[in-house]
Amino acid sequence: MYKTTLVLLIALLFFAGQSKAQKNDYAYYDSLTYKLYMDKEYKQLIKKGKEALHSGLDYFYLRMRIGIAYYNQKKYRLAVPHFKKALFFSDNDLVREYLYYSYLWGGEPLMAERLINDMSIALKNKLHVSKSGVLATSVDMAYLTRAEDLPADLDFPSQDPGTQIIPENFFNMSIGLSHKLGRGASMSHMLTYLYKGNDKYNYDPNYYPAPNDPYYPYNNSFNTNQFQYYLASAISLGKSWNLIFGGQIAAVAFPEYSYYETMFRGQVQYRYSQSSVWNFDYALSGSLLKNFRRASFEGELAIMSMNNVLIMQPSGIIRLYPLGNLNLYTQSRFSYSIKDNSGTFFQEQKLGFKALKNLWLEGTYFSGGVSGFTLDNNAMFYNGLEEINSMAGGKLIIPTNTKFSLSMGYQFRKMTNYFYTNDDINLKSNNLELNYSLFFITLLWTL
Amino acid sequence: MDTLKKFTIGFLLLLSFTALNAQDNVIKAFEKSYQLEKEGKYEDALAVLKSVYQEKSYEINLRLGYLAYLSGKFTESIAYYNNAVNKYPLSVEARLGLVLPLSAMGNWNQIIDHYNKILEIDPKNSLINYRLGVIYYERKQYDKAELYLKKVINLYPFDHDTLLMLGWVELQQGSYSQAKLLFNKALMAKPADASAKQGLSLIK
Repeated sequence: MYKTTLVLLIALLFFAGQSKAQKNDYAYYDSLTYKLYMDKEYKQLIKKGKEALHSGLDYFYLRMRIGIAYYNQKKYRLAVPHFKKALFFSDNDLVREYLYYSYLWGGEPLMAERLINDMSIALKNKLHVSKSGVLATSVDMAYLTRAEDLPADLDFPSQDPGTQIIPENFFNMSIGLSHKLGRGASMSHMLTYLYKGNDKYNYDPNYYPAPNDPYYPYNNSFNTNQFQYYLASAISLGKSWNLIFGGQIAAVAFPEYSYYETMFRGQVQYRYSQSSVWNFDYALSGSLLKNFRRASFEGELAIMSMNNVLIMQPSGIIRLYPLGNLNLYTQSRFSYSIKDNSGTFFQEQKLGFKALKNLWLEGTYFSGGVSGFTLDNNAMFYNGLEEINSMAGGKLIIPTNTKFSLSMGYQFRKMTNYFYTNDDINLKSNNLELNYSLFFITLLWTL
Repeated sequence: MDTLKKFTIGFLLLLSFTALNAQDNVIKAFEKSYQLEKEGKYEDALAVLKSVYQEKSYEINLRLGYLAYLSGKFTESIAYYNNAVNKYPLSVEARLGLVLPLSAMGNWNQIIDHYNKILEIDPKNSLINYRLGVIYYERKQYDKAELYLKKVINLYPFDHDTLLMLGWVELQQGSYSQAKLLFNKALMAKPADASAKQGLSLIK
């Protein structure tokens, strides 16, 4: 009796194991995933497909079904590894097309470009792609204005001669072009004109007469004109690594006043003459970016010279794509600005999501209290003397069709300007924090 | 000494008998598997041969690979065929068998690798050259397809299938006069060939 029971028990365990083994086989998962694919049950297909992969099954049709399931759910970044594996199993136009669009719509255009070289002529014609040429052109404008009046009792307690420049407004306009350079490489360049209107306060007890003198260069406007050229290149190194490097040079024309005495009708009068002086600022940067399915990580190093001060700025940028696509994304930047043997930490957070069928919203928050820095691999170039304490705002991104995209937004800024003494640029006092509003608009035309 | 001699002879006889018996069992298992295969009972045929399985036997692995393929157990089939290929790397038949489950799973890149290995052994193998021509035609890599199909046409200038396939390749590459010539030759081999007629109509 005991022996019979033992034999039965062993047989039961064996056959139970056997039936489980039979379930975890090709025939079972192939027919199941095929049915789920035909019924468009993508969520279940992904679940069962992953089960099949974990059981050791891996082949072209399985990968295609899982990839297409993710793709049809618009989780393009999650579809990529499955299409890549399908391409490993069988190199054909169908997979390449799916993989191309998964990269493109998942925010990895360089990887999409890398595929073009290996496409058949028929597929290239179908997708209207070419190895090189102009990718896109953009025009953007921004206007910043001080959102509050200067305090009535503005005073300059410093006893040393110096200057305080208080931003009033600025207007900038940029035109950009980006080009395909061939296999997984692109180049962007941009011309920018920036006009800055500032209030300038000079103080020098030794050389200037009383402040009520009409020619006293207190309260002068100090308007600068800045011309910038930005050039950058992005190269796909393979295995989802990208190298991005570039630079920006800015030629700043600012007025300089020469103060002199003159005699008029037997009386000493003070006059000043104005001329333009040019100053050049520049920034160079390089970064390495690694893409994963739901995230990307980037390390960036920028070196810049702004207002004759050398600055080094290492940064780390983390981007998250929780849904595996661009319908929801976050970007966190952590940077450290090092100048004159001291450093300032600053950070920027972005959150973007698809609000409606043709509308994305993006919110940004920046904090740091830093002057002289760059963002986005030098594309954003801040060379003002004032420190930006915080910026918060949002923008609407409206892809009007597959070719055009319009974005517009608003940003609130808190900026602090200082009184700098003539003898030592590092000695600053009389910090004045003011509020500003920035409005911007960008038109992007994809060719 | 006599006892030891007798024991040794007896032992050797027993071994021979056992080996012969084992070999006999394998042959019987093969015979049974053919019978079951003929009846469409692939799983049973598989089970019969598995009962005499020897990992190092090329023949058993080869046969099991085929039976597993017929049973729809493609991953198992690939494993048996791989064993056969590892036993005899120069075996064309084992690689030809391996291609069966791979094609069912859509793993065409691996199929191409095996075909290329076969061509290293037998460069003028017309079947493989033809099949590679077809694969590259499907991938729209017409220049590569032409390369392989021309090797076959040089060996078999009046082979209908190759004439037809090469006709389509030439048509896709825009070589219309060449395509017309090939389609007409295909029609000489099979006058009712609808595909050749369709190709000709596209040229007109």
